[in-house]
Amino acid sequence: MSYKIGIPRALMFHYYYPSWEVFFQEMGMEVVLSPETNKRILDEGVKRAVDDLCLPFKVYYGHVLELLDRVNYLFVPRLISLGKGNAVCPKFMGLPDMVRATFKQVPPLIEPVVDLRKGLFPLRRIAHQIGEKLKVNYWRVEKAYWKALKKQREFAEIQQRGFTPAEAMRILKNGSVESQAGRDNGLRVAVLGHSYITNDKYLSMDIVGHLRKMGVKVVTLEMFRPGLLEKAAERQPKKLFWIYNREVMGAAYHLLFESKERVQGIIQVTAFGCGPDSLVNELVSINSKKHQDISFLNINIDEHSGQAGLITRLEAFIDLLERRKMA
Amino acid sequence: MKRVTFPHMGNLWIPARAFFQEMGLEVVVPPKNSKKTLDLGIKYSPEFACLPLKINLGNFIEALERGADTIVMGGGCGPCRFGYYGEVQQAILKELGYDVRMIVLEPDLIQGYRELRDLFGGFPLKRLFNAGKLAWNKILAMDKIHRLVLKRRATERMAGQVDKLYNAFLAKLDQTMSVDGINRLKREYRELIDDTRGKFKRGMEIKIGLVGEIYLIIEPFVNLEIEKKLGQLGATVEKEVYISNWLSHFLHLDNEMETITKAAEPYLRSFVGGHGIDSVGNAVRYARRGFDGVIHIGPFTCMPEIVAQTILPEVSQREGIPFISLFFDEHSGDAGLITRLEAFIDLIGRRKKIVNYK
Repeated sequence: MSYKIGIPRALMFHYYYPSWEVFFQEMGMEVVLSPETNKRILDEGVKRAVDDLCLPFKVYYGHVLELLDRVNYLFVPRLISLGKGNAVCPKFMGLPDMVRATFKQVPPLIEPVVDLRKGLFPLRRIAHQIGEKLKVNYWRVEKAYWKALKKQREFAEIQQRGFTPAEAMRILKNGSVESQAGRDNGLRVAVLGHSYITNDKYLSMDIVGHLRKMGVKVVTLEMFRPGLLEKAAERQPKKLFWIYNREVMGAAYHLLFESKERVQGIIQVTAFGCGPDSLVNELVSINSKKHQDISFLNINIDEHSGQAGLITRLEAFIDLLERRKMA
Repeated sequence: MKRVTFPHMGNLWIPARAFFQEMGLEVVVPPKNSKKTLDLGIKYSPEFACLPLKINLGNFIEALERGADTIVMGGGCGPCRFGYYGEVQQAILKELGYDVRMIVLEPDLIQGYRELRDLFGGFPLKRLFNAGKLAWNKILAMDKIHRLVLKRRATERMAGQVDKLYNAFLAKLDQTMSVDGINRLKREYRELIDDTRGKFKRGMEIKIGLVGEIYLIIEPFVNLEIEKKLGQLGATVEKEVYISNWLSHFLHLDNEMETITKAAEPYLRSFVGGHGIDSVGNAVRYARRGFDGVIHIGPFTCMPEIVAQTILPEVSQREGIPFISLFFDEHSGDAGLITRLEAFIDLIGRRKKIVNYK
């Protein structure tokens, strides 16, 4: 049987989509993806969420709504932990339940519990759970699983060559990606934040694209080897348990203290209401004071953020960097 | 000698002081939570951090100004932000120029042992046992009387009578340094408080279950004395989140968690950090026990409680129990809270009359 599997283009999508797509297609399913975030999706998501929920999850609701009556199953994994000593934000842990409580009529969810602390080959076990639920032949699932793993590796490798996840996805699809860089002004700036924000053009108001148009070479955390970030994050005496934040913090510390390829500025992008960021950004800010020649910009995004204000701030920041560079 | 301090959380300071004093340390109890504590906390904390972090930091600064040099703080391994409080607060205090040692008690036996050995300069087992026993008995007595107070406020004959007795009890409890004395005190005040019993202020019993994040539930300064306000409105309150429950859960002394997980299962199938699943599970339990309403409280932007807040409307609908979610931050004010509580209790009162009439 071929089912339509709905995948919301938000949150975990930005980390794992290429492998999910391969996995479901190899099992003979049809993958239905929600469109890129737009005003309607954002507004509908905001309308359905409780006020205090952070923006990326509100957007997730908007994407779920797009898929509701178009699919047989909705793929909403429940992330618990991606390894020993790490956790994710509580909202990821409750996501399937939150989706069910928010929407009265939802298609059945495929909601594997992703807790990679336990057992041998936990991911493979999860793959087979999904396969069983969709009544797919064991060996077909096994094959799909290995293909998906390979895809995820390719996806990571392309990003480490200096592409953002969105570009890497396009390269996997089309083999190449158009360059949008403007006149090179010799500046290197890091844009650090959760991939589901920096990589969502609408949500982040395309900070990366705007910077590139200004001629800036942009670095994002996906472009580093994970081991490098992990090592840099160890500067914090107590291991940070939120895995996605450990990457962000690791990237910041790596650029501040270890990297040989210098950046002139670091832009931290945070969504309003993000719990882990509220603490981690403080630690990074305190540490950044030790490093006088890297400038910092904090950008907080909420549902009322406007492009005009953002571009002004980015331009001012880049002007400042250029002037500092000439001095 | 070390001068130890710790953050406030309700009356936790009473057993904590007893424990550290028995262990031969000098204790600096931070001044009671006040507007000043809050202002200090807000000034130096990250803007979007949750409220408990800010108040803790205020406590620390006030205690350090009074000569404390060692902070004992709780830790954790996530996913709630509390587990990383210590790390952030330490960095902020250092940045402010305080020379302070922070001992973070992690849920890790070996590390916990090392920290305590450092703190007490050895590991005197017998002394630890005795100090622990004294503190534990204080906690039990405190929580037992608190449960009673939550019931009797709604039936007191003279306004404020129960709270007067409760405060007297706490003051005496702080002074009592023997287990026998604590038990005598507990019995004495149980009778005294029971004696205030009159008629229900509203002519009928209105039972409210209080669920939510532990700090907000236990600390009256941040929840704007919500329990007292409910009592004055004539509602009896029950809650499951007490220091004693939290400790026995932490030390795996009870199987409360199983009951909660089971009750929450149709709605929330995973632990979500903090007390998120407790809020959902206990709301279900209160509904099934025939309570009249559930009040859910938490600090603004609290991650586990936002999950609970999202799910509680479904619980309310399917279990048929009215509920209200209240989130608190540094801008929360008395007037707004009273209006909402009054409206909620009135609604419940009217609903109950209609149901009884039918």
